Amino acid sequence: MPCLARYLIDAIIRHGPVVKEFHLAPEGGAPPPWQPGAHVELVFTSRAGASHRNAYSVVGEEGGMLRIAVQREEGGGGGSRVLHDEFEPGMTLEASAPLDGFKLHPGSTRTVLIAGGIGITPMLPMARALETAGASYQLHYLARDAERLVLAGDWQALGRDRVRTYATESEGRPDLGRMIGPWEPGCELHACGPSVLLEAIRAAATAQGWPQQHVHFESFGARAHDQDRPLQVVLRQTGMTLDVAPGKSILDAMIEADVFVSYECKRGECGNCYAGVASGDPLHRDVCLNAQQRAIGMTPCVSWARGSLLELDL
Amino acid sequence: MSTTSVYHEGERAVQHSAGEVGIADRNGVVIADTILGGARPFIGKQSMVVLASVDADGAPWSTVLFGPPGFAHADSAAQVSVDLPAALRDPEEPFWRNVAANPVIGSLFIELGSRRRYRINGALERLDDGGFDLAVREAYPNCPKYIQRRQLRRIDGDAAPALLGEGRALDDATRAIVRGADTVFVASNHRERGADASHRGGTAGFVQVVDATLLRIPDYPGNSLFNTFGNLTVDPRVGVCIPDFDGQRLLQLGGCARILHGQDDPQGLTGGTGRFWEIAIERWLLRRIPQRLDWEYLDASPFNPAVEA
Repeated sequence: MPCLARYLIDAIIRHGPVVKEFHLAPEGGAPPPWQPGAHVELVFTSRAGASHRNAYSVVGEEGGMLRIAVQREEGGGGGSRVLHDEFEPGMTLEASAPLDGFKLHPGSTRTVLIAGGIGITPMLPMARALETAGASYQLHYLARDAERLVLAGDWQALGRDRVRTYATESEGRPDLGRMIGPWEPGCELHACGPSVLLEAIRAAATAQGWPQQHVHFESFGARAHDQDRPLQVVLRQTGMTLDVAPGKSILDAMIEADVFVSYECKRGECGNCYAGVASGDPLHRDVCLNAQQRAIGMTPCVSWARGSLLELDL
Repeated sequence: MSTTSVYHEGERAVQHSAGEVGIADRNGVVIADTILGGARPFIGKQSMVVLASVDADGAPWSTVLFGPPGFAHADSAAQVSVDLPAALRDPEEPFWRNVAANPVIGSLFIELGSRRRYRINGALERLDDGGFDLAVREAYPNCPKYIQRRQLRRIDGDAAPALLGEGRALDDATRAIVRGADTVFVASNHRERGADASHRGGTAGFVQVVDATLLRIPDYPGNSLFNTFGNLTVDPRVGVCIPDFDGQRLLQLGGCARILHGQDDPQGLTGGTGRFWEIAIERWLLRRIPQRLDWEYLDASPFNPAVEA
């Protein structure tokens, strides 16, 4: 388990209606080393006593402080609302050491960065690293409207021809295929955004000949859909049936029931909880499996199923 | 909470080289010092256990033992027992004399038919004519990737074990087993932390026979813990065993490993890691398994990267 360190909130800066940037000063010493794409896990407790553990990408450093940006989410576990509504400059919270879960793979030919919404956060240090290295790269930043194109000071400081922004509500979703372009050796693609956008990016990249190992994703946001219905999950090998309510992941239900199951990221990115599907109709919400892998299995950490019954080979 | 108790210096060094320290910290939370409740019935229905043991010179050996379902059982969360009467053992199997002299044991319970595996490392607590007990030091589940599905349809104990051959460089028969391998087990050891048994799988041909004494194997994306590579960084001696599922045989190799980071990989043989490892073979044993096993091959893992054409 990563060590926790205590940070003082030095400043909170507003970016549009739903994003607040926090400047976190480490108590006693310099900020820990971190790589572009890294995130920290903030550990804090709400006034009502609920404990939260939320992951946020490191946007950058300023004056010996880590910068993170928190979007207020109406759904989910409520941690972002606590950070927005209950924390002020002068208060402290705990954070893990930076985790390098989403690494920059600089392409020798071309590096494409795509950010959807608050997914801009890990892309900014990546873009700065590429800019500093003099690499050929392009940052595409999609948000619902211009007001939600946040952290403007950061992306406007990059090379003028390096950044393109898209306000999708008025302009519609841009042509992802054109944005990504055909793959050739030395090309790398990084994208961070909601899983629906990443799905579309994966499809567009595959159609243009991008091998999977050159496409790097970090996903966020709730995967549960409003239409999800309660699910009965039959574990064929274990001989157990679990009732899982929407909003809880199938993996978490299995872990709580002490079922023998392997897992790592719990975000549909690594595929290490992959389970064979014996019967049922999975709704895939991962960002790591290809069509062949999905044809016979699923990631129970984020995916769900149509109907009321799902049988896994676990 | 400190991480120092989970990883040793070799594992840390490889996690650093791979740039995966943070991921290893996150994933290390699955490592426990007792057996997960749900894994105990799993162990109790297995017919095979993969083992790592260490010989008198300190060299690790990899092997697989078989028995009827129930031959291995975790009656408590702290101990696994394996019932295997002396009369049914192969006296040429290095495991038996290794553990009699050195108690460290790495074990892997792997159910090829459902791609589930559970790792238990620890020390020998009992060895007698009935079997042995393993006291748990650490235990954790591993992911299902790169496991080819096979169902053990039948197992009986009437086949006679035999040492079919031994040597230093691979001959034609052992070379053919390596070339056809899609499932390989690796034993490594750390002088303080003990032995580790792990699985490596891929499409047949993923273990490249460079020449009669050198193998080259791609290292696919994994859990970032680098238990095997961490051990090999500190002590490069390695044991490998390759089951010949159709031929009722087990090939056991011993040698020295070298890890190659940051390799050019234009064909994508490593699945994106750019890591290979090489084994300089020093000796091999080819044994007939002391049971008759009837395996049915089901399918390859959908995660296997391409192999060299």
